[in-house]
Amino acid sequence: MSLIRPLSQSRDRITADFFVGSYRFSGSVVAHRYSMIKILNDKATDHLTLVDIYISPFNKPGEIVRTQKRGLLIKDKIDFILLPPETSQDLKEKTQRANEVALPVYITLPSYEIGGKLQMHGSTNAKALLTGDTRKFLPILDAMARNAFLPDIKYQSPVLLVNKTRIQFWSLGDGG
Amino acid sequence: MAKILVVDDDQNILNLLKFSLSRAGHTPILCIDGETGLIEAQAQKPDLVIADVMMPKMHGYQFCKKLRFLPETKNTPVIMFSARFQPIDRQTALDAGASDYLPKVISNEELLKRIDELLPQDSGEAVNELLGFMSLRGGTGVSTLAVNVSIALAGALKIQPALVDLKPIGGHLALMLGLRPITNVSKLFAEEEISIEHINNCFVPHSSGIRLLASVNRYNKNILPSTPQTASLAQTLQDEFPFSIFDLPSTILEHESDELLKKFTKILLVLSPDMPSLQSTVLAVQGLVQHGVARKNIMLVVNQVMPYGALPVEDVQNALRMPITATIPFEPDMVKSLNNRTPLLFSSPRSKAAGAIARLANTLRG
Ligand SMILES: Nc1ncnc2c1ncn2[C@@H]1O[C@H](COP(=O)(O)OP(=O)(O)OP(=O)(O)O)[C@@H](O)[C@H]1O
Ligand SMILES: [Mg+2]
Repeated sequence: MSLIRPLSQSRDRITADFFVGSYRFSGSVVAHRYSMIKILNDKATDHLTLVDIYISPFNKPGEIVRTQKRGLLIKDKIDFILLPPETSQDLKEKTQRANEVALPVYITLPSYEIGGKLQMHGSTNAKALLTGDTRKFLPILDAMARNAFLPDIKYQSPVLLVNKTRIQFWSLGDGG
Repeated sequence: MAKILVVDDDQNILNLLKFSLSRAGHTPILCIDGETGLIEAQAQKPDLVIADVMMPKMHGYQFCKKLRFLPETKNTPVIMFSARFQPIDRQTALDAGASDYLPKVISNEELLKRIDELLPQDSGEAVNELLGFMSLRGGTGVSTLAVNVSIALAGALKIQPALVDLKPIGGHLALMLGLRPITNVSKLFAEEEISIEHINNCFVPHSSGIRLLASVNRYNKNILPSTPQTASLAQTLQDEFPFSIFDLPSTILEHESDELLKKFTKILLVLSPDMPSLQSTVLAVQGLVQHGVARKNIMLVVNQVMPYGALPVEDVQNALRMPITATIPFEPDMVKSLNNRTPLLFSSPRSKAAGAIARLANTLRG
């Protein structure tokens, strides 16, 4: 029996870390049984409603400088999202389908670089995924994000969701 | 069992913890925010505190820092938990003075186990002492102090402490005691299970009463003991002897050594008063805490291995922000005692350093 599990996911809430510009927001989305990726890719709304929000500056991501009960995040402005291990593990299993390949991917955003694996059909090519694919956020598996200015600050997560419109550079395959 | 203060803004969590703590025999005190938490902490003097990080008004880090300033709770173990799960979050909690940081998805069993590990030992029954001497920097006098503290204890207590040289290869304890061991710990670690009979067969007796488990003195790259083995050795010794003393290798924090390190009733971090040693000590404290050692079980010993040029002890204390249990002065005869293979407490019992070591042993005796 998991004692404290109900908290981070209680009453249908998904708690996650949102990286937006110079801030790290930790907060919960009321999910009504939808997955985070569904909610993000839902074109009907351009924002996310967060509750119980904790705000940290990007250069001191452990420190809490402010808390807010409720607030809105503009989806387009989000750089990437780290899902907590318990929800991301589920998502990771769902994302990993048969006949798909996991390719190493390297991405840069305005202040972060991201490494990990991208799940895709054998036939899709990198360009199609960026332009043709209708999803706003792409899941990166076994991901690591590093602050470009403060390389000691890094984050790890089984699943990271990256905002496609924030991507500046991306490359598939191992470096070399 | 124990009085446990729980501070969380989520009533569901309070209810859940109330249920599971009571069922485990503890007395929970529940608070919905940090301010009432501080008032209750002063009034009720809990044995342990569990606090959420994510709370409005006063968040968990602020709450924990304030607890550390109250005389009633400055040494009380604090478990913080949060939905934030990155290493930086754990580090922030430890820096705020938390004893441990747990993710919110921890199981009930794990949480109760961690509480038991962090709770202060029951003062009613005497616990056998298991002391670890260590330093991340070489040459600060770890072995010298382990040997001489053992001799002081053997003299004062008329008991025979067990002394373990855990340096995987070429530890100096046998040499320092003037012993020529015909057996060593590798025999012990070759056994399938470590029993008290095996240990007794491996002891090398010293005239002081110390029983030494000597280190391997011949190079062999295949003999490194595993942590479960060393942890089982520590446990067996603790069950049997009132005092066991370990000379720990400086690489101990580079391994998965939680299981062993958490067993020590005290870990003595030996440092010399110079900058590199200071830096290593800061890291060692962080490392020990990350390996699950309670802060209250870490003791600092300053050993002046150099004749002059040392940093003032006050500066060392200020830099480390931890009390210093003992300061051992520089002893010109120390090297002579090594070369004569006679520990300082026998060769120069009236020296200042010998006096300081005897006082340290007395403190450790409690
Ligand atoms: N208080 C002291 N005054 C003078 N010399 C000292 C003092 N304490 C230790 N020494 C000397 O410092 C040297 C190192 O001591 P020791 O071998 O005990 O250190 P150690 O930390 O165990 O080293 P290692 O990393 O090799 O295990 C020895 O020559 C010892 O005699
Ligand atoms: Mg040594």
